[in-house]
Amino acid sequence: MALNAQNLLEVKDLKKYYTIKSGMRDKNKRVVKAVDGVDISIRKGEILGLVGESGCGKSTLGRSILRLIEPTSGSIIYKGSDILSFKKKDVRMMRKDLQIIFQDPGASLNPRMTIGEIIGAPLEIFGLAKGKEKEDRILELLQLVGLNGDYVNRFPHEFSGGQKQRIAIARALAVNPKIIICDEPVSALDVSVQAQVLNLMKELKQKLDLTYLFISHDLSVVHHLCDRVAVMYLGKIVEIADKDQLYRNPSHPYTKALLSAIPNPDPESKSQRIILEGDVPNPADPPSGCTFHKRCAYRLEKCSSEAPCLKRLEKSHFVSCHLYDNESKQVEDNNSNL
Amino acid sequence: MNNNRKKSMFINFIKRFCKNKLAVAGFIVLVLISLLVIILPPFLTYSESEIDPLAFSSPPSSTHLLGGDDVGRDVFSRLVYGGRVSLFVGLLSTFISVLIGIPLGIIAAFYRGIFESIIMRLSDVFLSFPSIILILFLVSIFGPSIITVTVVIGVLGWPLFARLIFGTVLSIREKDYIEGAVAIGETVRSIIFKYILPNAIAPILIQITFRIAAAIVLESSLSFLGMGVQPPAASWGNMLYNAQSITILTDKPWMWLPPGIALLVTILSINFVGNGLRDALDPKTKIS
Repeated sequence: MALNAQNLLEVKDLKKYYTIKSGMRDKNKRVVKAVDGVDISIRKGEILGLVGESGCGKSTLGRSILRLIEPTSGSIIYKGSDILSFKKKDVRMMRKDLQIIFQDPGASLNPRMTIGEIIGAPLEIFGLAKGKEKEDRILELLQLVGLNGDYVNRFPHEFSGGQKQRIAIARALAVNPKIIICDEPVSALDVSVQAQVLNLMKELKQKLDLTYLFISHDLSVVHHLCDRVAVMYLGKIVEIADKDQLYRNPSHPYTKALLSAIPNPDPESKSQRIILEGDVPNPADPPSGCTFHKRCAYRLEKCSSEAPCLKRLEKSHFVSCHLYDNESKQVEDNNSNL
Repeated sequence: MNNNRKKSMFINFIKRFCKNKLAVAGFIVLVLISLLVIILPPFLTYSESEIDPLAFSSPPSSTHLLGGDDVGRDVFSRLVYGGRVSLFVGLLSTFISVLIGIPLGIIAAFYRGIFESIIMRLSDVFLSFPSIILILFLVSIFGPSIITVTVVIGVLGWPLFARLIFGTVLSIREKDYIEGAVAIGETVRSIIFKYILPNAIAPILIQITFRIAAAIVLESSLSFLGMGVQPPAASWGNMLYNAQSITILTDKPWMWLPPGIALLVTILSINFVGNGLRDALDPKTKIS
């Protein structure tokens, strides 16, 4: 339980199911399990990476934490209380501590508001600053993200993608949040700009004592930025470990395949690319047992019938795979140390 | 500083509007017509219903600038008085339509579910009635007068605006910046007024100009059918329709040309101004 004290935010058994009906008369409702029983904790001051391919539910997880999407069940513990049990008013106050940066900076800024209005909006909503004080704070925030203070009266369309993302970051920072959920914040940007924005985020984290949940599908970016990494597949966390452990010793067959897909600039290197068979299964109709078993090269007999759960491999390395059933010591209280 | 910013945004708006020469011309023409129609009547020698036996179907002369109509009334006076009616009906009825349609459309699109079902099906019902017959029916119940015609045209026009803004808001509410607004704790009220409305207003402006034009024409048709402005009071519509016979059309153009041209110029000007407004309200339009 000692580690527990560091946990700033704990997600427990979070589920988000969508029901789909093909018509009014359709009796057999199908359920898409976008997030299916995720346990994850974010420690104070860390950058937790969340990787997975498109459609695996990583954005849904991120948005559920902020209650931009209402999860089906589970709990999200922040500062000792469950965010999911909050009333409307409390949810708004919670947003002072938890903020989000979206993927597409072009779409996440209101095109009819000036930069000053955009960054000033959260200040007004929470009554943090007024009049002259507000103007000063806006300028301060702009400088913080490396933008010129003269930009306050300009509109979003006058800026480049990287600049827009800086504006979005400034808006998120306006309320002095504790945790920022970054939903693929750089994947819409040019590679050269990506590095600048990532370095800015790293710098801001140090300066302002922030904690990030960094959602991405770019493993190199995650390696550059994150302290710990969680790998998601079809709504579930399949592996979670410290960055170095995960990149040095990937344990889940899916993680192995993902890491082998990182392009290696050295033509001499002999690293072998693991090509996964088949496609990501339809989330409305996932395979039985372990959802990965149909594409897994190491599948055992029980993989198709029995779903594995997260087991501890090393101190802070957890994996959800039957291959490690014998090696691992079952941890009594999984949640507390994830 | 905040005031300054508002001021400079207003100046930018004016600059963008002035870039569109047609819109400026339209605006000037509309102002002139409005002033003429409002100020002129007390100074006219003849009122709209005054009959001058000497001016019976007379061509334009120094006493009757635009000639006399088939019962000897001064065409110019009728044109001015008629303009009052036409502009009043066009503007006020559209205002009523917007006032009902926009809030309903936004509610339907923003809250979806039961609101959407009720409001949008109701608008289908309204649209499925042949409007001219419905208007005739309603006007005959409430009695023909300028006010009734205006209110009835206005109330029947709401589905146009509701449907238009419904579609626009439906696409806007899925945009990231709405989610962003929720994430920074904006209330529903300010999301609607600060984030959705400003982004949904452009097609509405165009629709408004079309509707004003359509309402003026609708009033004309009603006047023709005897359900609009009652003679001897004038409107551009009933002036046009009074000039129906083939002899008037071929031999006495002064009876129908002036109201026809007035109608055309007004409607065109309104459309130009609408276009200009749309561009001027879009911050992406360049000011050079």
